[in-house]
Amino acid sequence: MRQPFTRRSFLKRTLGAAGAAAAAFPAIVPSQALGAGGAVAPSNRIVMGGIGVGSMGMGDLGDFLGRRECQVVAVCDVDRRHRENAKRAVDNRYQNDACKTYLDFRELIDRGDLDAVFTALPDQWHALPAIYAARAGLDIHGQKPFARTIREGRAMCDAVHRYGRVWQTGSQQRSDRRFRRAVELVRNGRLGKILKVEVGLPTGGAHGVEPPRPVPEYLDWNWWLGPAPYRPFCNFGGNSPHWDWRWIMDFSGGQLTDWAGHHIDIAQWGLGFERTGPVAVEGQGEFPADGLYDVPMRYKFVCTYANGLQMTVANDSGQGIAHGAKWYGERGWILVNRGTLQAEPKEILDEEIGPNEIQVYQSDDHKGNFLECVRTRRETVAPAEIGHRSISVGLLGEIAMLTGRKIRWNPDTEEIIGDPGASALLGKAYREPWTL
Amino acid sequence: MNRMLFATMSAALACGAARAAETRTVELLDAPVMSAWQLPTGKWEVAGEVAQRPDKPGLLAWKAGRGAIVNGDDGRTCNIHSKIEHGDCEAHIEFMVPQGSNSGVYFQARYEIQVFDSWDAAANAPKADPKHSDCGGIYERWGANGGYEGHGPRVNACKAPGQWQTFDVVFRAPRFDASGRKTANACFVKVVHNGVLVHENVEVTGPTRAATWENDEKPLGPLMLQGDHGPVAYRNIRITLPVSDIAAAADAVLPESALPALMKFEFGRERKQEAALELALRSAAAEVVAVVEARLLAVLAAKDATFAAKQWVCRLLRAIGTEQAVPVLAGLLADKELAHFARLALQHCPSPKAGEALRAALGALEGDLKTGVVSSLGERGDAKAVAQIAALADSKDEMLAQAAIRALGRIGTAEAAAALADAPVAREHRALAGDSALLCADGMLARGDAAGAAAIYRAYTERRHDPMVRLAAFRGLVLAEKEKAVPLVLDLLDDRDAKIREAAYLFMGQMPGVETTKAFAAKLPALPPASRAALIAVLAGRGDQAALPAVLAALDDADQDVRVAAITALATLGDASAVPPLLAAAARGGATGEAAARTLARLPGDDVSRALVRTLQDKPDTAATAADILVKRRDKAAFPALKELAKQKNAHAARAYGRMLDWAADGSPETLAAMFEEAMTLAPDVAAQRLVLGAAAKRAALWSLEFVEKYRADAKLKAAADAAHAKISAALDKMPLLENETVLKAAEAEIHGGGAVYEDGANRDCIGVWTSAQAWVSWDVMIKTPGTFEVKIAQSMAGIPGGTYNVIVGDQALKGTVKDTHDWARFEAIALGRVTIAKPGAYTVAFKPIKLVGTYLINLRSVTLTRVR
Repeated sequence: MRQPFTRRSFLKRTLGAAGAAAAAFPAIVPSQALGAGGAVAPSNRIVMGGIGVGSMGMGDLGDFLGRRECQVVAVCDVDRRHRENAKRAVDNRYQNDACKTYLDFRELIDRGDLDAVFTALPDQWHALPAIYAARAGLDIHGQKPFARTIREGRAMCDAVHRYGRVWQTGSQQRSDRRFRRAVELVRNGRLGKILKVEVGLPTGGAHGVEPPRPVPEYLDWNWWLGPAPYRPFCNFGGNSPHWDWRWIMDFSGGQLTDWAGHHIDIAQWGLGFERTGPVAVEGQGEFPADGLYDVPMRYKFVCTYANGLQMTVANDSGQGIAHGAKWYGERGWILVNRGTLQAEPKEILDEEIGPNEIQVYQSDDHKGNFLECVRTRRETVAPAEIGHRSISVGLLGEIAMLTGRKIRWNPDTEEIIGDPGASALLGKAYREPWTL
Repeated sequence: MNRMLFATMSAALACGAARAAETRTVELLDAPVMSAWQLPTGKWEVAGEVAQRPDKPGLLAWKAGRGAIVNGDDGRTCNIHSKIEHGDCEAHIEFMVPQGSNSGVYFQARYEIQVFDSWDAAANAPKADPKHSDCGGIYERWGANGGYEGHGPRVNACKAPGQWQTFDVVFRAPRFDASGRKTANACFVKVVHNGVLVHENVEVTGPTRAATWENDEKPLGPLMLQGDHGPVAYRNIRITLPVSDIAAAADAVLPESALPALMKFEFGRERKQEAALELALRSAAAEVVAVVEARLLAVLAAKDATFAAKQWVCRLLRAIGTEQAVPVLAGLLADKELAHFARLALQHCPSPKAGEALRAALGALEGDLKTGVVSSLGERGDAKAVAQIAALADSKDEMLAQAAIRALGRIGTAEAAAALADAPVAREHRALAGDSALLCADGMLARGDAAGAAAIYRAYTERRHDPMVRLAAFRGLVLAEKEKAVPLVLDLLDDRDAKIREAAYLFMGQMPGVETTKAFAAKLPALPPASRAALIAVLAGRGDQAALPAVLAALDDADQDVRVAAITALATLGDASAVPPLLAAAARGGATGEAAARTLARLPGDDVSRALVRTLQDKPDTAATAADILVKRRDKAAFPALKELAKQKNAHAARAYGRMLDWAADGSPETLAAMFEEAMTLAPDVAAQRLVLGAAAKRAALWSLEFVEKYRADAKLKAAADAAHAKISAALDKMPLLENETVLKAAEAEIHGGGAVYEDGANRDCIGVWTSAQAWVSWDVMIKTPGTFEVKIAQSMAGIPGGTYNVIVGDQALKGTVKDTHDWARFEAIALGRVTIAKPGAYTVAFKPIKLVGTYLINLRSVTLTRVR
C-alpha cells in the first residue's frame, strides 16, 4: 500500500540543502544547480516513471531519456514485451540495471520516490492513472485526447487542480512557433473581426471482421481493457490491439478524437476560447456499415459560440481545407497546419506583433516546458483545463452525431440542456472493480 | 382543441371507410430541444413567449423558454420535418404569423394547408374572397402550365397578425395497391381554422407546390413546416395516428425477421444489420424508438440469445433506453457477464427507477458486482444511497471499500461528507477518504455553502492527515475564504512540508484582488532570498501593478536571483517608471543586464518607447544600450522620434534610426530614396553610414540600386556599397526582365492562399485544381523601358465556364472571363487588353479570381506581356 510520505520536493533539492527547516526555494533554477558541462547532479534530477510504453510511450521515453534534467527509473505496461523493451532502453541509457518494470500502475505510483510520470495509454485508461498520480503528488505528462468522456476529463482536471499538480497535455503543436505565430496574428486582430472558423481533421476508415483469438501470453487482456467493456481478444488490425484500438468506440473516437486535441485546440487558442466552449453543436457522421471499426469515418459538425461565431469541424474530404485550423476574418484568412502557414492577403504574415500586443504563452520545447514547470510550478503551455476543453468540443460533436440531435451546451456548468438522452453520453459506466 | 368536435369528425371520415383503430397522440413541441424534428433544423429554435414586434410588425420577437418554436430572426431558413411519419391522422396545430408573413403545414411533407397573414388591416377584418393562397387554403398544385387545383377556404377565419391561431385537421393519406399504384387520392376530410369549418372532404390529386417531394406519393410521410417564406411560430402541435402506423415504422427499423439473426450475434461476425439498426435509430421518432426498445428488451430477456447479442443490446440501450428498460436491466445486475453492460445502460438513465433498481441490487450482490453498482450509484450522484454506501467504506474487500469511499465523494453532498467523517475506514484508505471529503466540500462550495465547505477544509488541514490531503485542504480553504485566507497562505510559506510551501505559491496565484497583492508584496522583505524570488514570480503572474513598488525595490536586492526575478517580473508588471532602473541594469551588463534588456524589449506601452527615446538625450551613459533596445523592440512608433533626435545630432538615435530603416520606412520609391539619403547625412560616422547601406540592401528595387550606386566611389563606403549593390542586383536579376515579350509561366509563379496548385506534365504544366476564389498567383518582373503592353493568358477549362478574374500589372487591372476550351489539356490564348507602364521599376503581375462558377475555375498555363510598337 501507500508508503509513508517521503517524497522530496524538487525545489528544495535544488538548493542542495537537505532538511533545512525554513529553506524555501527559487521559482527559477539558479545556474549553479547545473554542474559543469551542463550535467545535473542526480539529486537534482526529476525522477520519472512511464505508464504505457508502447509506440507512443517509447517516443516519450526516448525524449525524456535524452534530457539530463530527468531520470527514468520505472516503466509500466500490460504487454510484457513493451515492459522489457522499455527497460532495455532505460538501462542502456544509464548503463545500469536499475529500471523497474510493473504491470500495475498503482504499484509504480506508490513507489514513493517519483516526481512525475508520463502516460501513453489507450483512451479508456487516460483518467484513472492520472487521478491516482495527482492524489499521490506526482506531476503528469499525458497524451491527447485528454479523456474519453467529458465527465472523466472534468474529474481529471479537478484532481490536478486540487493537488496543485503540473500537467502537460501531449499537444505539441502548442510549442511550435508556426502555430503560435498564427494564433498571435489572429488574437491581435490582423484578420479583423473573426467571421467563421474551419477545422479539418483526417478521415477514418472501415475494416473487416476479426475473429476472436486466444490471448497472447505476453499480454494481460483484462488489464489492457481496464474499465472498458469486456470483449474477447482479437487483433484490431495489424497483429495486435495496439495502435488500432483507436477505431473502436469502446476505446477511442477515431480520427476525430485523435486529432481534435490538436487542431480544435489551436482553433480555440486563436479565438481566445480555450477555457470555455460552444453553446450549441450540431452535425452528422458516417459510421462503418460493417466490420470491427465503429468510429465515425466522415463527419461534419458545426459549433456555435456564445457570440454567434461558428466553427465547422469536418474530415478532410468533407471540406476544402484538408488538415488544420483556418480562421476567416473581415480582412482575410489564416490557415495553419503542420506543413504550412498561409494567409490571404499574404502580407499579413509579414506583420510584426508589437510589445503592446497580446503575446501568447511561449514554449519552443514541449517536454522541456513540462520539466521546467515541474521545477517552477508554473502552468504549462497545454495545461489540463485546456486539454479538457479542446477534446470536449470533439466529444460534443460525437454526441451530436450519435444522437442525431442538436446539442445545447452550457460551457460554464458543463451540462447538456434539455436532452437527458444526450446527457447520458457525457459519462460511461466503468467495468467493475474500477471506479472513477 | 375541442375534443368533442374532433371525435365527431373522426367518426365521419367521408372519403373512405372508417377505421376504428387504436390511436396514439404524439406531441411534437413539448421538449426543451427540437428532438422530434429531423436534422437539419437550421435557424429554428425553441422559444417561450412569442409576439409580433411592435417596432417591426413584419417580424417576431420571443423570450427564452419552451413550448413554441420560431424560425429565426428573419424567417428565412430551412423547412423542418417531423421524425414521426404519418398516414391517416388528426392534427392540432397552433401558429402565429406577423404582418405579411407566410408559412405552411404540409401533411406527409406533400399536401399544404397554407399559413398566411390574410387579414385586411383597413377593414379590420379577414380579407374577403379568400383564395387557396390565403390562410387555411389548400394550396394549389404546380405544373407546366402553372398552378391548378388550389382550394380557398370556405370562410376566411383568420385573426389579425401576431395572434395565435389554430388548425384542426383530419387527413386521409392516399391509398396504394400491392404493386404500389395509387388507388385513392389524399383527402382533407376536415379542416377547421380557429373553430370554423373551412374544408370538408377535399381530395388532393398530388403533392402541392413546394412540397418536399413533388413527384411521388407514399403511404407515410413526415409533417413538414415551411420555414423559408417569412417569420412564423408554432406551438402545441399534436398528431393522432394509428398505433399500427407507429408499429409499421418500427418494423421498418427493426423487422421481426431480423430478430433471430440478432439473437445469435457473435463477436467477429458481420454486423451489417446491427449497424443499420443503430443508424436508423439515430433519426427515428421517440415513439418508434420505444417500440423498437421493447423488441430489443425481449432479446435481452430471451434465454437463447447469445452473450454477444445481449451486450450489444445493452450498448444500444445506453443511447436510446427509457424507463421501460429498467426492470430487464435490473435483472442483469447479478449476471457476472452482463452486469457491467446493464450498468452501461442504467448508470445515466434519467428515470429515478434506475436509481431504485441499483440501490435495491446493492443489498443482494457481493464482490465485484457489488463494487460496480456502488460505482454507478456514485456516478449518478445518488444521495439516497449515502447510508448504504457509507456502511461499505471499511469492507474487507479492498476494491469495494475504495469504490464506496470514492462514490461518497462523487455524490458530494453535505450528508455524504458527514457520512465520510463518521464512517470507519482502513488506515491505508484514509488519504482516499480525505480526498472524497474534499470532493464533497468542493461540491458544497460550488452550490454556495462556503461556510460548510470551509469547515471541512479546515478539518483536513490538521497535521495528522496525509500531506497531499492537507495540501488539497489548504487549497480549498483558499478558494472558500478568498481574501480572508491571505494570512493563512503567507504562513504556508514557512510550513515544514516542502510540497505545501511549494503549493503556497500556486495558491497565491489564484487569489485575486489588489489588497491581496499588497499583502503579499508587503511580506517580501521578511522572506529569505530564494522565497523572495519565488514570490516576485508569483506577483508577476498576478499581473497586478499594485506590486510594482515592491518589485522595483527588489531591483537593488543583494541576491542576484532576486534581482533577475524582479527584472523578469517587470516585463509583465512594469511601465515607463521601470525604464530608468532597468536601463541602468541593462547598461551594467552581465546576467542581470541581459535579463533587463530582454524585459525592456518586451515591456508594453507607448510611453515606454518614448521614455527610452528620451534617455538617448538625457542619459548619454546608457544611450548605446537604449538604442540597442529600441531596435529590438521593433516599435514603429519610436521611428519618427528617433529621426528627430538624429537631426539634433544625437549619434545613438541616428544609429538606431539607421538600423530600423529596412523595415520601418514606408512610402513611394521617391520618398524612400529621400529618406535613405537623409539617413546618410544624419549618420554620425562611417560605421553608421554602412548600417544605412545595409538597410538599403534589404530593399530590392531600382531606387535602392541607384541609391547605393552613388557610394561605390567613396573609398570608406565602397565595401559596404559594393556588397549592397551585389545583393540588390542579385535579387533584381532573379526577376525576369520585360524587354519586348515575357512569358510568365505557371511553374515559376508564386501561389498565394490554399485552393490552387501547380500541376506538371505535358497535358498540364499549369496552375489548376483551382477550387477557391481566395487563391491567386503572381510573378515579379523588371521593366526598365516604359511602354504599353498587350496582356494575354493561356488557359483551359472544361465544363462550366464563366468564372471571372483580373490580371493586374502594377496598379492596373484587366478583367477577363474564363472560356470553355472543352478539354482541360487544351489551352487557348485569350487577349485581355493593354496596360501602360510609365516608370521603370520592379512590378508584380498578379492573376486574381473574382468569382468561381462550378467546382474549378481555370487551368492557367501562362501570362504573356508583349510590348506594343
